[in-house]
Amino acid sequence: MQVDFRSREVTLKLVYYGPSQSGKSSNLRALQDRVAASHRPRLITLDANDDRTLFLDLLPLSIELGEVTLRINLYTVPGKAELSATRRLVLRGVDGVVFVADSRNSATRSNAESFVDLKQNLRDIGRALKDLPLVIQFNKRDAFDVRSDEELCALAQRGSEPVLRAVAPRGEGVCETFTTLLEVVFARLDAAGELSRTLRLSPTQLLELVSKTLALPSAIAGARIGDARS
Amino acid sequence: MTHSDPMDPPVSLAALVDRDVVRAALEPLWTLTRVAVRVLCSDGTSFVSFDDSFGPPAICQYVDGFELSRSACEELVQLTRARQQGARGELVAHRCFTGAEYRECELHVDGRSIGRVVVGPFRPAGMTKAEPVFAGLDRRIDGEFADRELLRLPELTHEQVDAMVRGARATVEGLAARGRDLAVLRAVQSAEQHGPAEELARKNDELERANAHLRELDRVKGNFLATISHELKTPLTSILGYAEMLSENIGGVLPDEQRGFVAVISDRARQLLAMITSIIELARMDQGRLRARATAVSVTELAREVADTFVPSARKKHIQLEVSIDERTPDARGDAGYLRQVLHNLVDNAMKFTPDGGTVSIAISPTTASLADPTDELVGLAVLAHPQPAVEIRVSDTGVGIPQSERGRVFDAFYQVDTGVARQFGGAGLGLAIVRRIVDGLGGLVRADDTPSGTGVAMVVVLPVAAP
Ligand SMILES: Nc1nc2c(ncn2[C@@H]2O[C@H](COP(=O)(O)OP(=O)(O)OP(=O)(O)O)[C@@H](O)[C@H]2O)c(=O)[nH]1
Ligand SMILES: [Mg+2]
Repeated sequence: MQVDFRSREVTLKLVYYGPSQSGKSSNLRALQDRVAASHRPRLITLDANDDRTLFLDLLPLSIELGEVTLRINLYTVPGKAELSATRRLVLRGVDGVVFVADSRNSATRSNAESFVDLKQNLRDIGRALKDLPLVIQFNKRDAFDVRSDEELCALAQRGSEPVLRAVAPRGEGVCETFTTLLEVVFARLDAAGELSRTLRLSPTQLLELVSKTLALPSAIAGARIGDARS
Repeated sequence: MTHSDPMDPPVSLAALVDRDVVRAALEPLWTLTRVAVRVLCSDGTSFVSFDDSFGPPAICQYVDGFELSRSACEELVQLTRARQQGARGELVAHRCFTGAEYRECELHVDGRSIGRVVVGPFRPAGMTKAEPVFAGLDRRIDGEFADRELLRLPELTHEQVDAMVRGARATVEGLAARGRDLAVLRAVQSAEQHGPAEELARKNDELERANAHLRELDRVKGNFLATISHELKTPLTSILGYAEMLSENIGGVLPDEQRGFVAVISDRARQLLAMITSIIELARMDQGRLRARATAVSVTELAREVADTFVPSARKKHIQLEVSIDERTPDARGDAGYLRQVLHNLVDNAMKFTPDGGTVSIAISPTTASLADPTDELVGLAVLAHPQPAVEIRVSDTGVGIPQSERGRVFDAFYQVDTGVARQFGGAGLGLAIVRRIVDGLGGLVRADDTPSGTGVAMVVVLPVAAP
């Protein structure tokens, strides 16, 4: 969290991480479409000048909370293996991560490799994944030959972070993923006392305000997998 | 925790757009209407401004000529400056006491204000006379003269002026957005060039600190556990010793009834000792001491071995102990000592909740399951796990069973399905918690399952297969 007292801005940095072509950019595009028109942000896309894979995307959201402006910058990292330096750079100062996994069986290995890469890159910049708010999204649920719901459900219940399903180009599960991450991030900042100090709001109030301002759906039940614990 | 994001550079009009380009783009508005157009930075300073080089409009000069109207004008300007602007993107109308009007609008890029565009003063279409309020301010003000001066202001309809403001805004915001793309790109590139060295220095620093902290934490925790175990175990050992001496009549012959009491004391003290040992074990595992030496372990052999140790207590409770082993089961990857404890705790738990005359069965077989290498607190398990060959340990009982809704929690420390039953049979509910801790540490999984007969419950442990 970055706090600028002069301009009264609080900025959060959230990063969409995952293997190449898993649907990170599609998530940001779908979210952009679904945000209330009054607050619809620009999607900044930086091109690496090469043919296909884009360098990174930035979707800057901003929400007025009385005197203070809450800015939420959403980034994607480039998935291509050789762009690890860029991923490290994007991760600097990160407040929360959505890991966008590709649901297809054939992508199981590249998902795991990308996750290990995330962990290593965080370690390289002096951060630990287990201390960072994390949400896992299984995207491309509409594709053929995907990991079964039952398998993902069993894993979700055992693992330590929320797992959601999505079809990003259709917007399914996209807002839910975003608000779930916000929920975890706000709870973490609250535990550190930063929310009450800078925004004077409880995590629930803040989440409600943000969802309302951006006109995001508040019910997130459908997309969440294996939600037996909460 | 105040990071500054190298990819989110600060924004300002001057940094984002070329003044000459803005100038060229807005000039036609002025040329066509002769209504002043200004673009101001967020601190109020002028960025680009088109107005008459011969000075302010005639009506304004007339207003400035009288002390009272001049200060009223200044005050009005102050007030509008101070007043919060309308919601983002909204056009705000200002009306002077002469009847002249202004329109303004905040300029944004990516949700941040970078300044304002102000159009005016203009004469709203149809207005031919100055507001009487103006003439009322000072006796020397000539109403008809004021009307004439006002008429010299260019006339605009509200649609026209709104279109002007919107056009100016779209132009400047569009240019600023392109400028911001460039600024972000430049920031990314420069961070990429200067990043690694800084990164490395900070990383070393943080590692050093983290290590020192960990060493200290380890020492404190280790001490605490050693102390606790010592403090709790020493008096218990004495209790057990003296109870034994009493029951062996070393302090004199005890009547039978009292011998019964002493037996209860010994029994409960032993339970307490076992519980303390479990708690210490569990705490140790929390400390990450369970970084088990992963070797190939024959679970089938272990199962037979553990089953043998339960034969006497099974006989005593008239419980039938069945062992069924699929000989094709491969070796599991794990630690023999810990896996023995897993089997022991599972069978012990099943025995405890099986009534006299019931059955406890142990089944070992090959299976497939989604497993991952052990991770920190199971972070990312859903992504890291993948279907692979595995070894299944299934221990079923014929006890009261566990409702579906409770099954997710049976492996939590101190969990009991029915405290009545638990009290009857004793035990602190730590056996299964230890099983879970060990199995998690080995990258396996645990769950409670139905039994084929429908009575009782099956505790299932799945372990990764050892590398061939
Ligand atoms: N069927 C299906 N296709 C998807 C889904 N999400 C993304 N895609 C497609 O997958 C391709 C890659 O999507 P992107 O959003 O660009 O993926 P990315 O993760 O940003 O990829 P990189 O930036 O290269 O790492 C595109 O052709 C998308 O249309 C999904 O849920 N279902
Ligand atoms: Mg992309």
